[in-house]
Amino acid sequence: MKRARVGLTAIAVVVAGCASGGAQNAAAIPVAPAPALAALPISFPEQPTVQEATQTAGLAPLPTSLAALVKTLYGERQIRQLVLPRLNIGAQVVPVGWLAEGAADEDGDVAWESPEGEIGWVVNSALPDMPGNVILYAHNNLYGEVFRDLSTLEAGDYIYLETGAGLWQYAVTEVHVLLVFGAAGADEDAFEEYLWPEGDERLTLVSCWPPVSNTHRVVVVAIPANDANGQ
Amino acid sequence: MKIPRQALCLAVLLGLLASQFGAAPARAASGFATAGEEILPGQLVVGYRKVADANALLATEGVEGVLWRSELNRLGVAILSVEAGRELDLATQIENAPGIRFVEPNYRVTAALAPNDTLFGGQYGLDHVNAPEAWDITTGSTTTILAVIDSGIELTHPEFSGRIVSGYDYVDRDRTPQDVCGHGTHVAGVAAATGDNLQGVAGVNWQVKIMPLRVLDGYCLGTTADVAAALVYAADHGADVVNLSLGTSAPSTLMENGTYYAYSQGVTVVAAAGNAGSSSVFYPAAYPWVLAVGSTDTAGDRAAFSNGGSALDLMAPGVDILSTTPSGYFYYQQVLGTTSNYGELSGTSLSAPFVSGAAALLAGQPGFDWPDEIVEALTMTALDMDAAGFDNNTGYGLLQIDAALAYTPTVAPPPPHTPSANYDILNSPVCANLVEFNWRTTSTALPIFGSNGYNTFTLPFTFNFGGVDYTEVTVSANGYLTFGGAGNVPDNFLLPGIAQPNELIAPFWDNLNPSAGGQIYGDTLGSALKRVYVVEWRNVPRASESGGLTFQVVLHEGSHEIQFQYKTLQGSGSTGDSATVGLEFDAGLSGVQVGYNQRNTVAEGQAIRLRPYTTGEPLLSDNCVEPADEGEAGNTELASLSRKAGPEGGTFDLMPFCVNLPAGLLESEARLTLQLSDKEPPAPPDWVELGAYVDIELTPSPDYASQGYPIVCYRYTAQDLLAGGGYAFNLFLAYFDPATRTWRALSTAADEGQGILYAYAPHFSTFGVFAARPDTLPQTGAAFAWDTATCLPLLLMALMLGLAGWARRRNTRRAT
Repeated sequence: MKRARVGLTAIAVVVAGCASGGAQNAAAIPVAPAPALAALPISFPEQPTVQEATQTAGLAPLPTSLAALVKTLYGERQIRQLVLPRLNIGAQVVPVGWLAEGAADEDGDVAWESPEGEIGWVVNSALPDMPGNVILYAHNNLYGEVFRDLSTLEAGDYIYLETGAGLWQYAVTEVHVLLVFGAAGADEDAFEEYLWPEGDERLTLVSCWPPVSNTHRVVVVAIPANDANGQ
Repeated sequence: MKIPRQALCLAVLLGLLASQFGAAPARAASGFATAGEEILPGQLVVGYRKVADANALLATEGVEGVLWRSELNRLGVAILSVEAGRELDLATQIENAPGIRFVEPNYRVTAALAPNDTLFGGQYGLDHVNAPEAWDITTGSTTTILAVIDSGIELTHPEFSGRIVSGYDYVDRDRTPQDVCGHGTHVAGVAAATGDNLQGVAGVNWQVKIMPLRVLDGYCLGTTADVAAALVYAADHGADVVNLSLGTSAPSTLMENGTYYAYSQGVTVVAAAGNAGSSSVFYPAAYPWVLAVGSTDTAGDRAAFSNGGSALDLMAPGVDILSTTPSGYFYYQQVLGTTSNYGELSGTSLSAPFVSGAAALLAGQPGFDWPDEIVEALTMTALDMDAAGFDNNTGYGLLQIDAALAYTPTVAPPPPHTPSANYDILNSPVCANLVEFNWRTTSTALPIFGSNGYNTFTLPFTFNFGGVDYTEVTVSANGYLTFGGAGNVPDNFLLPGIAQPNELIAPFWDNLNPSAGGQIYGDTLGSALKRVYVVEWRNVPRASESGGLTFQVVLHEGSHEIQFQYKTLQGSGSTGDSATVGLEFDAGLSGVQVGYNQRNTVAEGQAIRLRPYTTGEPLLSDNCVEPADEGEAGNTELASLSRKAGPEGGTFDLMPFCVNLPAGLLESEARLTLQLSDKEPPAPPDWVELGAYVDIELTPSPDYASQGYPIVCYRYTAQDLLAGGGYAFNLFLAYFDPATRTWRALSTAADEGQGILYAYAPHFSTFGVFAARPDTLPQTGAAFAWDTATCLPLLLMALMLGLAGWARRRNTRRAT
């Protein structure tokens, strides 16, 4: 399954604890020591000047909904469904991103979107047909509790991702339960390692654990099944 | 554009002057309570997020009840009844309660704040316009600017201490607009003398910043050209309101253009109606976008000298008005006996600043963002006089400032104007590769006579200009062509300008005088479908100057392109110092300006091509090669752009970046250079790098802190959005601070409709685009309380399992 290295390769998900229970890491995102200025204009200032910003007019606006944006960009390549036979999981996959909260000149947390009762595909992570890390996460004790039993997976279990182009098979190689980022004794680099692609193809599933306190994270790593078979 | 000063001096008319000399007797203000001294016992005002949050306060010891009042509910505010005497203590206790936004005592407010200025008792006019009641609402905002275009101001007067922002002296051509006439200081005092400062008088507005623009000289006389220039300065330097206590009985294209320019830039323009007792309002007050103010007397009746007419808007006190005067020598002191520092004058000149001071009060309040809103509030709340409703003697009636402040305007902001055509400027010194100087020989003299002469000619082909087809053109002696506009206007202005001439092609619009020498020629050259119509001004001098100018304008058949060419430019002011070069269409609402009153706008041997294009089409001028850059071609393949930028500002595109320089940011011409870059210093590890960088330089580097900032923008792609977490608001622009070798994030706004990020640029350096990224793991579970005894065993188990998982991870890694 060697494929050309195209498109998005870099992902950068620095992970930390679930909000519940664990020590919340509230490090400020340095989104702006703003100059002392009045409010920004809402639209481009209209000025009867010699050079209008004419080139913008010809561009079609980008979709503002994340689902529409991903569909526009990836079409049939996007992941529709995850199937995990051993846990009896068959769930829709939806694109999820994050939102910097608060005005840009404030210290704002950055909040992940909730996939609700579905599985979230992190929009800056890879797709099955490109090199890199495909990152999915889902709730463990809310909505459909999709990933409730994720920690019971074992090496060799198969995971299937369905895209418009077909079915992609992965085999679990690692299952980790890690202390949340920021908790005493947590290995902060570990999360970054698991969720940084390094160019190899793999699938990473994330959820909270255990369901009663969410003090930990379950991280499941899987690799394309024919690679696994070849080892 | 030089205007013979004497002729205009006579026409510029000032306010009718003092009939009484000396300051009014000082009368001490009676005792008053300042808001904030006294609180209502047993009450606290709380701001809450939810009704339940306010009700929860009932659990606090000492809180006796919550009083709900429907008009306060809308504000999320309730009144708590509390134990009397413990208000402050309880406020401290409550302020950090959950869901409580603020807590404060219920202050007793005193009606009609009476200032303690020693001469306030002599200021009857403030009572007539309900200024004291207005001061209970606001005494002004320090962020609004009132431009007083007059005889300057006494710069050292204590009543303006700390409130004068930099203006300009158009009489002495310097930056110290000291008043030696006395009119401007008096006008400024009516609008804006500091109140409640234990001395002298109170103005209408105590906080507004005053921008003195001196256009009236030591004899209190000035020119319309200076008034127009001052209006442009005020609009370009952030004035919110302009006061014009001056005028003439005759219309003036310059004041029409100048006042409309200010109005179109969002400035409320207030002018005196004139003191001729006539039935028509003077100019500029008579222009529809100018608020014309007449005078009332001490009894509140219309003053006999006050001009009336359909253009009159409002009345305000104008008889025996006590206000500030200069400290040293000034003309009125000699002529009228007005005393130093304070004195009385009469005239509509003194009525206008009541209104401009009030307009500035409104401008400092939310909801009054556009001149039409301020004008509506001031006129619709006026105290009706004379015939019911509007009448020609008193307009809408007497200014009532408190009611205006309480008024909610209904007028809709004007829809943005879309130009009916676009023109790309191909300017040969900047675009050496795109336009050739190609002089056409003409031989047919056109019958145009006199210094402001003009004539209309049939075009050899239909020429489309500004989206309209024309078959004839008017050629003016003053260096322009017009399609249906006035041909006799010597006073050039910015483009576009509302006054005549409109539908304008101006290779060199200035006060030219072919009757003092030279001749104008016109010919059709070339063969059908590729013809050109050429008009040439040959050896025509500027008015009152020796030395001729030879230039031509070439209209191209088919392509409808326009080329200006300059062959010989002799004499002072011959490179555009007092000329307008450019195009104007859409009845004065759209235009393309190459230069306005700017030296070296044109040069001998220069050609300027103005090429119509459709929106979205790439601009040829983007491919300009700067002649000065030849020989230093970079070895990078990344795109760059180098452009001249001037006071008119503009937007400069280098995809995906752009830079917007607001009009007026630059005082003189500078060169803007953009260079895309792919290698830059690393960003902080918790930023997502989107890989787009641009180096921006502006030379010479201007000092623009007081006139706004340039805007750097970036057109993001779908890939940028996904790399940044899916949402435009995660993306931000940052600049590299070379002094500290660090990236600094900029407060960035996203326009999702256009797909543009933009941010004010504090300095030009290297800019990049980044995204915030999460520093927490996705929240996939509900929050559980885990500090209870029952959860403790589970927690311990979790910790143990965590360690087990940790160990397993280590093993796994070793295995692979």
